[in-house]
Amino acid sequence: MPSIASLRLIDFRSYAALDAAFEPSVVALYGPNGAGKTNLLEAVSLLAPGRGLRQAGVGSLARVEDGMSQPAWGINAQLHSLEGDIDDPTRISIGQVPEHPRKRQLKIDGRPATGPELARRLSLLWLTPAQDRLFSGAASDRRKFIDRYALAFAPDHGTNASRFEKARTERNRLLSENVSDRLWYEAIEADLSNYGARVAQARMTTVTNLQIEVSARKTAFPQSLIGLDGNLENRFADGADLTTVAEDYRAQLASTRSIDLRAGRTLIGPHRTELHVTHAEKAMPAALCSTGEQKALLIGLILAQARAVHDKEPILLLDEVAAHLDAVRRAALAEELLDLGLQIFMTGTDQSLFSDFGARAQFFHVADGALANLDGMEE
Amino acid sequence: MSKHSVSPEIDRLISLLAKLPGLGPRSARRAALALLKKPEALMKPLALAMGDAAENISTCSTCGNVDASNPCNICATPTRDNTTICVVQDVSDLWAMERAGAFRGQYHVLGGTLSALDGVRPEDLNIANLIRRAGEGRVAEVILAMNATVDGQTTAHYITDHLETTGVKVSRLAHGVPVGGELDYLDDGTITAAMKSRRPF
Ligand SMILES: [Zn+2]
Repeated sequence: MPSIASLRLIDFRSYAALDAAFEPSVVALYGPNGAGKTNLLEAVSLLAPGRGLRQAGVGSLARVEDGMSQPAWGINAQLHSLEGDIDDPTRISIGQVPEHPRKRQLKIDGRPATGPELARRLSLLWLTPAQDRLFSGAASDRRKFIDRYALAFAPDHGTNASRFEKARTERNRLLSENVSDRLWYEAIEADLSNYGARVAQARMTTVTNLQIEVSARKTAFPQSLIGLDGNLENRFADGADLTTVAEDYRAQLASTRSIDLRAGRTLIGPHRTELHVTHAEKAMPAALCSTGEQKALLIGLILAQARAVHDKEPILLLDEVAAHLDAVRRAALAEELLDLGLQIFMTGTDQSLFSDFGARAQFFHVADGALANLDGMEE
Repeated sequence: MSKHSVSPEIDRLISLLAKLPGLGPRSARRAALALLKKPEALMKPLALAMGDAAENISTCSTCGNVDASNPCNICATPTRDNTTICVVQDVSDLWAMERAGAFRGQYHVLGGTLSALDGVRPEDLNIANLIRRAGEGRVAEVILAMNATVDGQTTAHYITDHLETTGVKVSRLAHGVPVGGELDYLDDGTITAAMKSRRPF
């Protein structure tokens, strides 16, 4: 998959108008807090299906001037093309038009497109300060984390997960309204079990691949033991196949209907799965590790994921990552990232945080809604 | 269809056709097949016509029209009224106006509309040229014939603001053009009526 050759922002967040061209390698963005570095990373993150790295609603992305949101905004990305024979690289347009203020518009090469079409063009991975609480926070955040990684292994994962959620919402409605129509439940449970099993299978595949990559390479970042604990995931771990897991889940849903009726919701399924991460060397659950070690574990995971899906050439977005590391780990991270050979956008408050990259990165100073391109630093 | 089962020549033809507006991969495959079935009657004449057009057609540096001469035939016709400029979004709109025979002045083709979503900014459009032309003295009226879409009207406002300093009269088509309507899709009668009932912007 290609990387981002250039980016044009119009009325997006702090940027009235921005044009920037990027190399398909490490892009270091530095500048004071509030200068708009994360906004730029967010713009890139919106080139993947979903709400981007801030999980922001479409209405909150327009630039605000004199207290008024601009009626339209746009992110236009030109991709470095891989197909050399047709000299017309793909252009992705994301934004909002005044006619439909609540709807995010998406175009590929000027034509309306869908999220899955976008996912086939670009693969993105990110690490942000918001993930610092991943291990100690809500289980749903950890499921979201692994589900995002799963998209790279199973392109249908997003669709399957939303179909599962839709079926679960339907069933919960019947349960909470005390509906007793057996055939209605059975129809919903057929979908629920089918998509639920696919969701669980994709997660298992992801965790398995991720663990292989984590164990295969010793870096300056601690190795994790990654595990999933969920009814369906555990079946896959025991070697059951997709059909069996789906059929058994369906039978289970039928037999627990009366219990679910009392609870008013579906109690068993991949929506209850827990992702467990353990610091391998210390044999300590990640949530009990120091803040610094949790960050290091996360970096280890994103590096492993980048290696695991390397053939898809994911673009990495690392927001304020270097600042948390000591000099040794910072140098190690630079080598790991350069070794990946991917396009990687990094932010930091100070240029010196990226000194390990020397001349091997593209540097931009971010200030006042503008980018200034600077040559690589002297070694 | 696997990529390897189709020859690279056909694959390339389909990929290029699929880039045309209105054609997706599926209709591009059908179009490619239709061409391949009629090499003498269709494909070679089309290739010739395309080569010819690519070789000889250029954009008029005055108005933005496409023609075999520069300035274009419309700009170069002395009998046309050169005190009025009709501003259109695209060449297709100019063609629609000419088909209707509703206008005997000069044109100015913007090449699109302002659009944050599509990344189109004022400097990407043929606006600076229009302001220069309007300020040349002989021009008395600029008629904005943009589509009745939000982007079209935003662009019209932007241009009106910039034309203020030139002192020329700025008007727009109004009557009969439906909201969201595009000039290219209107019948000749509607265009003529809209042109006659233009009003100050
Ligand atoms: Zn001309």
